[in-house]
Amino acid sequence: MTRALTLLVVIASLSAQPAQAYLHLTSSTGLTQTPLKWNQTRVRWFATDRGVPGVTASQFQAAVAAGFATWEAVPTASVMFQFVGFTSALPFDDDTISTFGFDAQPDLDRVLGATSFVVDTLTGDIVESDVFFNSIFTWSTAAAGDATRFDLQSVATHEIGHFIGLGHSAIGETEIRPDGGRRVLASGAVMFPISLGRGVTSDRTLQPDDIAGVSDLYPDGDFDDTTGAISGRVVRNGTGVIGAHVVAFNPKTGTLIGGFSLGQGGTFQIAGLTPGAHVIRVEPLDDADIDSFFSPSGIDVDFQVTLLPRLIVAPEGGASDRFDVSVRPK
Amino acid sequence: MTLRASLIAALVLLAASTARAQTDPPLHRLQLGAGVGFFSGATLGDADANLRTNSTDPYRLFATSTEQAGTIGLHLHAAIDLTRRFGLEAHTLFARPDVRTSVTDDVENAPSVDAVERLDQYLIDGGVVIRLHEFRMGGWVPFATAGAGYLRQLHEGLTLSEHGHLFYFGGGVRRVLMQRPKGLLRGLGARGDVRLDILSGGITVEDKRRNQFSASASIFVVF
Repeated sequence: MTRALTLLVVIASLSAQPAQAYLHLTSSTGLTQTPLKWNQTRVRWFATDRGVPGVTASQFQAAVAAGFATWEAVPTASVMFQFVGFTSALPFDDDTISTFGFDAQPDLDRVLGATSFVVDTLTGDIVESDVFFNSIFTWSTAAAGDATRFDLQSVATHEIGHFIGLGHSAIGETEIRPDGGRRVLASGAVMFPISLGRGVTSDRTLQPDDIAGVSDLYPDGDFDDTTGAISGRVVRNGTGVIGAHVVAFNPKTGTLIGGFSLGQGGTFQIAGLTPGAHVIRVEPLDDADIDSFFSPSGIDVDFQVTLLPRLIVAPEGGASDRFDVSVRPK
Repeated sequence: MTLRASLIAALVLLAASTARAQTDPPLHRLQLGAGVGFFSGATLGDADANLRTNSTDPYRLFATSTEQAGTIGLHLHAAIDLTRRFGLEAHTLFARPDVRTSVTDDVENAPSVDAVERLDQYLIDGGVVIRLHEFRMGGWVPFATAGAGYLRQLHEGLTLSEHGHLFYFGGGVRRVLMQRPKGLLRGLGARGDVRLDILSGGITVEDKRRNQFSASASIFVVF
């Protein structure tokens, strides 16, 4: 298959909002949006007892467990998981157990994997979440990857990001292919919605944007006291721009952490930043399908990429004064 | 009473004195001085905003190069002459330099910008002074100086501070303009300093030592 392959999160009846930075999945009750998250000390999961050519059930379980370990190892976040055992249940069965497994979905010919949720809509607590990996593709668990197959651990790490409540990151660059699909040129987050391709294992390792996202959702220790936030507004001719992708770059650490101007009047906030001065870059959301991030209603992509002529300081344990980024139409 | 008013008062008092100007102030007397100086800029480092690719080569979203601009600042010092040749002194330097990050080569052709913030910068240091009477020119006595100190920089908005340290060496000339044998104020003088500061830490990009030159002129009084 030559087309770019999208990592899809199933968000039926769910939406996403920038609770701080990145995207956190949310559930909606009336006008209230509640971030989705697990409210358990240790989240239990099962693996299906079937493999696919090249990947046995135990290899599958080991690759997914490695993905969970990657998220557990984030020092500024507190989220833990427990493998319970193998099951004959399939992902997406409504059975109160969270199941990871292969399934063949030929109609989803650009989807490597997907995550579904059962949610308590009053509290936002996740009750059950299943993840499927599309077995119409070939998979690998080789330590160094396999140039002809998709790396299971990389895709599992991405899907586990959804499993714990993260949406997609937009830190990445793509180009349109002649067949209408997208080819990824580069990405700056495991949670970027499009895979880097067969044989690539780099998404086994979380990026600063991923780490900020999970730490913001499940903060551990003094995360909130030792990191900073910036907040502002994206405007065009004085009017707020909805859905702009805002990236903060810290030249000292080399980290890129993103967010979206989804607040009223085009406001945004990006938290989890290393305290210090940041370069701010604003771009339209045009490197992936908008609906892979959130409901496309009202999203504005008709403006030029803009660099802010100010350094914005994220103070330790606090937020910057609100600032405006003025963008111009394309 | 402001510092400026104090200095004017000292001038008036000393002008009334009949004491003859000397080359050196009296030993073991406190000297307090104030002046202005120029502090050079410094390169703080380069950093690219890189993304991962399916190869080992990164993909550059944009490039940055950061420098601290030169600026005018205030200079206060306290000194004491232990012997005719040796002395000790402490300085406080305050300046408000800009930090300027040039953002260029955006992959989507965003116009390049200079992203700027203004710092509040303090240097507090102390060291030894060696006077070189052998090279006296008129009433001006050259000196060499060296020492170490503390750097404190406050980001714009004063919401975040960063710290570092420095070593310095330099020299200058000093002249006693007036002296009198009695009273609270025993003398008045002027001096010029040139220094090389070797800074570590503080606001930087590449965590490397950096050099900054400063040149200042000041007036001091002797108690």
